[in-house]
Amino acid sequence: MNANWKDKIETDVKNNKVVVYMRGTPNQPRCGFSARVVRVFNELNVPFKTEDMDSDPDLWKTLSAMNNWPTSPQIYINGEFVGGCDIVTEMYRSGDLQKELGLT
Amino acid sequence: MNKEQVKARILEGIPDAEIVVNEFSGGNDHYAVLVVSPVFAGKKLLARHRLVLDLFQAEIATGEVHALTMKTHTPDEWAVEKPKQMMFT
Repeated sequence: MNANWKDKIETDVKNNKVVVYMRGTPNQPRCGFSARVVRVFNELNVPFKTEDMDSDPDLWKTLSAMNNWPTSPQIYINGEFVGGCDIVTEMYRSGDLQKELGLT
Repeated sequence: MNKEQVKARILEGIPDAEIVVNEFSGGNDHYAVLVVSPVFAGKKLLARHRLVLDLFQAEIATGEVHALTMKTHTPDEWAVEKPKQMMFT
C-alpha cells in the first residue's frame, strides 16, 4: 500500500460525493465495465471525480488493499466504498443508487 | 481457469449454490457467473459480491481470471428474476 495514494484517496472520497476509480477516463474508458459506470452517472447527471487506475500500479495496489477488492472499477459514494460495476449497475436498476445520491 | 474450475471453486465456498458460468471473451479468463443461494439472504450487495469475489482473489491477482461479473440471488429472488431474464435470452 502506498501512503501517498492512501492519503489522496481518503481526501478525494471525503471531498467528492462520487469518486470512480476506473481504467482510462470518462471520455476514453479502457474497459467496458468502467464505461458502464461512467454511463450510469452521466445518465443521472451526477458530477463525479475519476482517477485512472492504469496510471500507476501503486494506485491499483493501494485500492485493492484498502477495499480488499481486486478489480476495476471501484466506486465510492458519500465517502464509502460501494463496490464495482455490477453493484452500481444493480443499484441503478433497483433505484437504490438514486436514493443513495439523494435524487429521489 | 476453465468453466468447470470456476464452478467448482464457487461450490467450495457456497456448497448449496445453484451456479451458471459463462465465459464471454472466447478465452478462459473473462467470466460471468450467476450464483443462487440462501446464504445471500439478509446480505447487502457488497457483502454478497465479496463472498464470491474472495474465492478468486489469487487468480485475479495473477491475471488468470481477468474479469468476474456476477449476479447473486437468494432462491426467492431468483424465482422472481428468472422469468424476467428469460425474456432477454
